[in-house]
Amino acid sequence: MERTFREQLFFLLLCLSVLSGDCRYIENNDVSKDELYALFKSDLRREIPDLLMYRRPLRCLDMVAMEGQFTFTAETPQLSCAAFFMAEPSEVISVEYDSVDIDCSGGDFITVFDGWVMRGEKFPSSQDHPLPLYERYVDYCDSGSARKSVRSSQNVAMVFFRVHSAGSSFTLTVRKHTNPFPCNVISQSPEGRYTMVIPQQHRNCSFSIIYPVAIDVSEFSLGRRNNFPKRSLPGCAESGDYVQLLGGSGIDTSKLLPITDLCISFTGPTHLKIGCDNTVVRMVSSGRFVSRVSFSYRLLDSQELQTIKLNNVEDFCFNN
Amino acid sequence: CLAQGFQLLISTLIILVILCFIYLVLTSSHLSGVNELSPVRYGRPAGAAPGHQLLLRLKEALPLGGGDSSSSSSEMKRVLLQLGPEKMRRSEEPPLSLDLTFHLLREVLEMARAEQLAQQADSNRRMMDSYGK
Repeated sequence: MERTFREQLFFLLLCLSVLSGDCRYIENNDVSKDELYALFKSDLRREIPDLLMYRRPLRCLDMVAMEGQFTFTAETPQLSCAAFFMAEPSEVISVEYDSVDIDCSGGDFITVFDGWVMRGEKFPSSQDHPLPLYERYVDYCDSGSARKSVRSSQNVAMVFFRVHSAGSSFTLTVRKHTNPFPCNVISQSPEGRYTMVIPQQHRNCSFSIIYPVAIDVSEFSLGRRNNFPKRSLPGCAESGDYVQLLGGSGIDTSKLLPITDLCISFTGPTHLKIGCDNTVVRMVSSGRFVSRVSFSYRLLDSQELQTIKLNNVEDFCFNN
Repeated sequence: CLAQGFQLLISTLIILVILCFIYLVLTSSHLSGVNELSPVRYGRPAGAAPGHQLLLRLKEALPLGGGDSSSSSSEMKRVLLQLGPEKMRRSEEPPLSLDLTFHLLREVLEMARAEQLAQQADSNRRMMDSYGK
C-alpha cells in the first residue's frame, strides 16, 4: 500500500474518532495500535477479558457498584427481590441478561427499571426523565430474547425479580459506559465536589445526595459574564434558568421542598447546611445558555445535625 | 494516474465524512443513553394473582458481613416489596417499588463501595504482579 494512501486512510480513521468524541479514550484505554477497527467502537474501553471479569452471587436485596457478572440462584422461592445498580456520576449502566432460567408463565419475572424506585418514589422524577414511567420498566418476560441488554439514562438503575421455584437462576452482566453529559445523578458518597453542565438544552437535571450535608455552591453561570452582585431572589421560576436546592425524605425530586433558588450568575461560595435525608441540587435550563453550577458537599456530623434540628421552626426533614 | 485517482477519492471521502458528522452533531438532541431503552410497555407478569395489591415481606436477613448487622437485620425484615394492583391506571404510582429506609439504603451503598474498593485493590495488585514479571 502506498505510504500516502496509508496516511490518508489513517487520517480518515482519526477524523471518525475525533468527531465521535471518544479520542480521549484512545490514550487512556490502551487501544492497540494494530487494531484499526477498534477505533470504530463507540465504547473505547478495554473489554474486560472473561477470565478477569468480576463475578459473585447476586443477593435477594443487593447493591452493585461495579462491573461484572452477578448470578442469582434461588435456594428457596424468592418472591420479593431487588438489586440496586450504581455507577460514577459520568457513567451509565447497561444490564445484560445471561443464562436466564425462570418460569415466566409461572409468575417469575426480572424487570429492570431505569432509575431507582423507593417507597413509591422514583429517581429521576417523571418531570426530569425523558421516558414515560412505564417505558422505564423493561420486563425480561415481555421483551424476551429481543432485548438482551438494557441501558440506563443516568448513573443508577435497579432490577426487581421474583422466582417461585428453587433452582431457578439468572445471570446479569453489568457494564458501565461513559456519559459525556450526565444529567441526573445520585452521589455515591456523602462528600465530594461536582460541576453540572447543561449545554444549551431545555431540560432539568438533578444531583441527589442521600445524606444530610453542608453544601457550598461555588459558581453558577449561564455561559456569559455577569457582573450582578451575588444574591438569590425569591421565586426564580420566571427567569427560566436557575438552580434549586431541595431537601426532604424521599428520592423523588418533584416531591422535595425547595430550600432556596439561585437565579443570578455568580462566583463565590454560598454555604448551606441541609439536615435532610436527601439533598438535591437541581438545575433548570431553558436551553438558551450553557448552564453550569459547581458545588462541594460534606457530611454533617451529629452535632451539626442536632443544632439544625433545634434551630429550625419547621423540621420538614425530620417529620416525614 | 490510478494512485492519484485513489488519493482524490480518499480526500473527497474524508471531506464528506466530516460534513456528515458536523450535521449529525448539530442536529443531535439526545446525548444520554436514552434511546437504548426500547419502548416496551410494562405488563403484568403472567400468572400474577388478580385483583388486589400484594405486600410481600422479606424474611431473609442480608449477609451484611462483619457481624455487626443486628440492627440492620431487624430492619431488613421490615423491608417490603410492593406490587401494584392489577387494575391501576398507568398514570399512577409505579407498579414495582421497594419499601426501604434511607438508613438501610446507605448501609448497602457503603457495602457496595467497600466491595468496589476491595476489587479495585485486588485488580491493582494483579497488575503490579504482572508488571513485575
